[in-house]
Amino acid sequence: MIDTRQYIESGILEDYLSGTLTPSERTEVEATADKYPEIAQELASMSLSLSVMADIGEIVPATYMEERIWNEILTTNLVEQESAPKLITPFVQKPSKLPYIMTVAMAILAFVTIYYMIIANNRLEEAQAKITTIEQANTDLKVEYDNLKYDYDSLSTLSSVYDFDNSKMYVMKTNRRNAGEAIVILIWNKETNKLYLDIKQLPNTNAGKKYTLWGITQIGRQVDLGSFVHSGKSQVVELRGIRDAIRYIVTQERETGVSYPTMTSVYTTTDLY
Amino acid sequence: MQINTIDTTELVEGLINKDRKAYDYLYDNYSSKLYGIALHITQKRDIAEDVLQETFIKVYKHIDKYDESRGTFFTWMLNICRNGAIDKIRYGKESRKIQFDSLLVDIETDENPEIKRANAELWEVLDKLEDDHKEILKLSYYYGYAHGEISEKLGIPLGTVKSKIRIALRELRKIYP
Repeated sequence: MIDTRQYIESGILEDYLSGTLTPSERTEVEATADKYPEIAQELASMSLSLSVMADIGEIVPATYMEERIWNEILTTNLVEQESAPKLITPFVQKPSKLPYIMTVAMAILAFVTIYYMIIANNRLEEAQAKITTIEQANTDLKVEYDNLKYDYDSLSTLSSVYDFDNSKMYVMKTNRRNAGEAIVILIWNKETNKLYLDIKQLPNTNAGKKYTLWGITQIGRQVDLGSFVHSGKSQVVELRGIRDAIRYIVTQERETGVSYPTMTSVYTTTDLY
Repeated sequence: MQINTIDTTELVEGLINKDRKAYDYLYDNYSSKLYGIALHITQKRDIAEDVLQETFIKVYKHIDKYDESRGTFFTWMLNICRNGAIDKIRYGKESRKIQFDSLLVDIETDENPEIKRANAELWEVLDKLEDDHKEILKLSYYYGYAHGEISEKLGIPLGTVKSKIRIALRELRKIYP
């Protein structure tokens, strides 16, 4: 139980209304006012008096102020927290700790950022190394696939070319001077009159040249049966067949073509039985 | 929400939601009072306008902390405005000293007729109070002196200062009901 009159005359209510009390003192005044109606009434009365003072000095602000303030309210970050209402502080202002706190915070932020950048950079390098390895493996696989496909296609071609019932096959003789260890098989299908060369081994075509297969007939006619180039891999080439040939020769001629075979450029030959 | 009759709870809710009607109500009912306080303390229109704006911003920022049961909404706003204005004249670029003995404000004369007229009206009302009451009210509410500072400057006990303030406010209500 307190002496309410004494409490009111202590002046604490004036301090309360002027906002100069500490938060704990304010809470204490509010609790007392809740408990004692006389104090609450005095507080309300004094509060009203303050309104009266404001009424006396009322001045209408410039008309632009209403929109200016509203725009500021809309654009200001109202979530930011401040201590409110601001108390009247002593004349000597305390040095703010904000710059120090800001510096420490920025240093921590910079450290954390650099740390994560280093980790991220290491991970990036690891990822790039993995990507390079995967790309190399992919390239190897593609080469392997291409080789296998080529072999498969070659085998498919060979299986269709080697028709043992209807074809005659001749292993062509090699002109060692030009062709070294050439291996070329001539296949002639009597039924279809198609002619194939299964080239297992033959020197690569020289620049500006091409291989030409000639058919030599019984009366000595030299017939151009087609041309091809060779780049090292074994291959099967389809050429034009001729029924009355008694001999076949493969020469290397200039790309523009010739009317007769150049006998110094014979690579392989075969005679029909 | 009605414009002219609105209870504090409704107003606070509207302010939290940034309701334009709530702002209009707040501005229409309180801006003149707050601007008057700010202008009387700072004696400069541009500074008083800044104080008014900052008061509204602070009200919006801390509206969630306002406790209706702990005092009138206007008293809360008034303290924010008054303290803001006092800070401006004490610590801001426009800081100035008050000639304590004569209670004259030592600033360049502001020729704004609006301020001169408002000053005249205010002093006319306050002049009806007893001299010591008038003096303390001016020091406390318009010049921003803390009670302890007034006590020290006037050479009277702190309790007396507070007592005189309370009596002066009571007298003021009688003069200007």
